[in-house]
This record gives sequence, structure tokens and C-alpha cells, in this order.
Amino acid sequence: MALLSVRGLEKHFGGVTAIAGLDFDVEQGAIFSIIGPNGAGKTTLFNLLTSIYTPSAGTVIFDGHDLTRLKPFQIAALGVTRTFQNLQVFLNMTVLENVMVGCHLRSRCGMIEAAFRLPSVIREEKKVRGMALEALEFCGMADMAERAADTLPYGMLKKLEIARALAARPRMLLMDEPAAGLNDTETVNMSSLIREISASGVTVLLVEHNMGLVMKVSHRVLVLNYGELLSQGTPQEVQCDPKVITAYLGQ
Amino acid sequence: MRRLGGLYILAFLFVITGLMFPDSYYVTVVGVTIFTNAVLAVSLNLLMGYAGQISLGHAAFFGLGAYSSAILTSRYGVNPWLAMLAGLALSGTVSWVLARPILKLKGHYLAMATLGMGIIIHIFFVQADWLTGGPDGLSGIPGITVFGWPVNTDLRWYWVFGVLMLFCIWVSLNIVDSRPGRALAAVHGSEVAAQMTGVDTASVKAQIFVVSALLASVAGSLFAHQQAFVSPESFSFFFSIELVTMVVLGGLASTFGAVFGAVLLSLLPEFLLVFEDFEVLIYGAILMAIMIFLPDGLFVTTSRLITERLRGGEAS
Ligand SMILES: Nc1ncnc2c1ncn2[C@@H]1O[C@H](COP(=O)(O)OP(=O)(O)O)[C@@H](O)[C@H]1O
Ligand SMILES: [Mg+2]
Repeated sequence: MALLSVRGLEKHFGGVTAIAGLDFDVEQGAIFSIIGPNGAGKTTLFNLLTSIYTPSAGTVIFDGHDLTRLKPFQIAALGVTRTFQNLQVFLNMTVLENVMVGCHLRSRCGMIEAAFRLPSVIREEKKVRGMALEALEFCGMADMAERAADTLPYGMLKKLEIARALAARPRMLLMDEPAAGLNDTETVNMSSLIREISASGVTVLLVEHNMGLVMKVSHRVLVLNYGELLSQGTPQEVQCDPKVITAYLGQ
Repeated sequence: MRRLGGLYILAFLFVITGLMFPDSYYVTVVGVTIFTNAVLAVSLNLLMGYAGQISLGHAAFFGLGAYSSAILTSRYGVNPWLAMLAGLALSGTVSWVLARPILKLKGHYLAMATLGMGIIIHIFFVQADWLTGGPDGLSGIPGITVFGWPVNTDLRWYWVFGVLMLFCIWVSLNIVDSRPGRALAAVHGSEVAAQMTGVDTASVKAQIFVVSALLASVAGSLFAHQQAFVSPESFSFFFSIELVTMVVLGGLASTFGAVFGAVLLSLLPEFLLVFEDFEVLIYGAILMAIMIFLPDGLFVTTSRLITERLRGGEAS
């Protein structure tokens, strides 16, 4: 059975149909890419998968749970996390603190324990710090741990979002245009990072415009056009699909 | 050590000042006002500075604590500490019930809702004269005893309120540097990203609303005993605004910034008394100037400048 099954998913904004009856499955362990022109509905799809938007119709089943009935934080608790196309870094914190928030679900400390700083809190803080540093290390950012997040260059902020998401030890990671705005070297680094994430056992859903990157790393590719599924298959199959060629070159 | 360094320094100053100037009006009388305001500003800052949720009704919880203690001790002879607990229970319940619906709102709507909450509770203090004594207030509130030590002089109140302030600062510093504290800052930084890292944002906002209400309530209970008299004007909308000003003036999201703002706003009127009629005018002008030229707050800007100087010194 697939890890993620989307059935009959629809989203309308007033008269605009952003997602029009989408069905697809994502297998455990895959790097599954979603491509399509600007405005195709890719970000909307991610927002539906994470309950940031409520679908107009349809279901999203992840590991037997219907995500459309859950709130975003409950979805995170099931092991689904994401990065954002328009960065959502906590700019009021240090790099390390950002990633420590990512460890929220792997720690327990409540408000009362925290207020009186019971010994359990001190122990857990140390553990969380270690987990966060580990995630930063994985993304090659350990040396920046103590910097204020708002002093990082754009490329690093994108990586920081990934480190924060990974700190939660997700089962599935949704990445919305991780390579957008990166230079060539950074893009190459990003594609190896995506592969390493996948190799560590995380299922990856990738939205990306850089076709070189998508075709290189993906196991499967889904093409969206005006909120509808245009084509789906391996990178080779999709690249040879006449419908995709007309949609991309014909306009 | 580094985490609590500022607290130790403040505790040291507090003790030294109390020992050196036990008879000074500025130390004992103004000191108590400063400490009370500091407790309220620090607790409001947890909600406003860290979690980014404005409240224009914080004085209401200060009032609920004060009136609970005042009514129970002066009318029914309840032990002051039990009365304080009753005040905590009331403030805790009211804040818990209101937290979720109110904190669902954002920006101007949240400001309006908290403003409304503050006004309604204030009107209750004024109107329910069978219980609260109405606009004339309640007098004859007994003093308190701490482990057999009667708090019956200005200096003793200085110690009591100072300890309460240090406790609040300690709690605030603890919360800020913890899992729930980071969750709050995350709500401030990006609510949607906070949710995607698994933070139940509605719950954590509600929790901090209750915590800040509880701290304000304790301050209110002690305030009632110290003044031996309460009346609605101490808990009005204007006082809520003054508390917001303290937090903003010191610099949002800084515990010591809130303390600093409280000190400044408590002392300023004392120093401006010499200007008589122009007092309020000058007061307003100073606040405006600070906000225009130092929008990040006085304390936060100054401490940043000092840090930069020190860093620069190391480099050269
Ligand atoms: N919150 C929203 N309100 C109204 N329209 C929206 C909203 N979000 C997305 N849309 C519309 O949905 C369509 C798909 O947008 P989006 O998912 O951002 O595309 P993509 O990420 O593929 O570039 C666009 O026409 C966009 O204008
Ligand atoms: Mg998009």
C-alpha cells in the first residue's frame, strides 16, 4: 500500500479552480516530484496535504489517517513536515533555536515544568540541543548554530528550513521549490542534500522548477497543469510524453 | 550563569539599595510601585513580546487578584494567602475561558477583543458596588504576615514586592529559554511554520495568556494588602495602556527590557513633578521621542549598541 494516497482532491478559490480532482499515490521511500508551470497549483496542493487549506472535496490518506480531518500540528505529529516556497524561518531566533523548535515533537517539557526549570527540563534541553546540532550537521550548517537567523544569506535560510524540518525526524518531507533562487553550486549541493535525505529513509515530495535537478533526483514525476494531472511516470516517461511537451513548449 | 546573570545583578542592586537607603521615599514607596509595574510588564511581555499577542486588558487580571484579596479578607476575614489563591483561581479561570476565543483573533481584532475584556471587567468593578464597593472602592484591607513576619512598614513591603519581581523575572527567563518558550517565539516568527513543526499554537498561546494573568493576579493581591484600599481606577484601560507602553518602551521580547520600561515609566512622573502643569505634556513628548528615535525600545537598542562596542573592541 502507498504511504500517501490522494483521491478526488479539489480546491476552489471563489471561481478559481486551483486543484481539480487529483488522484495519485506516493510510495514509501520515493522522491516524488510535482512539476508544472507557475500557477499550476503546486503550492496549493502542498497546503492541502498539510491542512493549511481545507479541500473543497477529496481525501488525503497518509499511513491510514485522513489528513483532511486533522490540523497541521497533528499532521506533523504523524511524521509529515515541510518547507515553504516563501521562506518561513523564525527570524526572531538563532539558527540553533530554529532547529530546536523543529525538535518540538521529540521532547515533552510543558509550561509548568519550564516555568520552574525542574531538573528534567535541564536534562531535556541538553538532549534537544544535541538533536538540533545533529540536524544542522546533516545540512552542513553546524558552524552557524549561534548566528541570528536574520543574518543568514538566502541560500542558507533555505537549508535552515530543511534542517528544522528534519529535526522532527519526519517520515515524509514536502519541499516547495528548494532550489529557487540558488546559484549553480548551491543547486548542486541541494540536489545531493535531497538525495541524502531520501537515503536516510525519508519519503520526499518535491516541487521544483529546475528540470535538471528534478529529472536527476526523482523516482517519479507528476505534471500539473491548471490544477489537473497532465502526466505521471518516471522522469523518462514524463519527458517523452507529447502532452507535456506541448504544454511546456507550446505556450 | 550567563542565562541568569542579569537576574543576579538585579537581585544584588535590590538588596544593596534596600540596606543602604531604608528610609528613602524613593526606595521604599516608589520602589514598590516600580516592582509592581515590573511584575506586570514582565508578565505582559511574555504574551506580547515573546508570543507576539497584544493585550490591551492586562490590568484586568491585576484587578481580579486585587479585588479577590480585598473582598475576601476585608469582608469575610479569609486568610490573605488563601484569598490570594482564590484570586489566582479566579484569574486563571477567566483567562483560560477567554484565551481560546480571544487569541484566535489577530492584529487589530485581538487588540479590540482584549480591550473589550479589560473594559468589561473594569465596569464590573465600578458597577457591582454590593460586592466591590463601586467607584468609592473598598478600604480596611488587612496587612499580611510572611512566616510570622508582619509586613507593616514601607521597607518591608519593599522586600516583599522586590522578591515577587525577582521571582517573576526568574520565571520569565525560564520560560523563554525552554521548549514552550521557543514554541511561543515560533508563533511570533511564523505561525504556520510553528504548526508544521508540531506546535499546537492555539494551546500554547492560551497557556501563556493564563501564565501572564496569574502573575498579574499575584501582584494584584499583594497590591491590595499594601495599599489597604482598592478602587476601580487602579485597574482601568489607561493602566493597561501604560503597561503596554512599558513593554514597548523597554523593547519587545526582552525580559529586562520590560523591567527597564517599568522603572522608567514609574520614575518619570516623579521627576517631572517639578514641571507642574506641563508634566503630562513633557511626559508625552519624551515617550514620543523614544518611540520615534529608538523604535526597538530603549533597553534593547542600548544593550545592542554596548554589545557591538564590545565586539568591535575585541576585533581591533
Ligand atoms: N489563498 C488563495 N486565495 C486565492 N487564490 C489562490 C490562493 N492560493 C492560490 N491561489 C490560486 O491558485 C492557483 C494556484 O496557485 P499556486 O498553488 O500558488 O501555484 P504554483 O505553486 O503551482 O505556482 C493560482 O491561480 C493562484 O492564484
Ligand atoms: Mg508555488
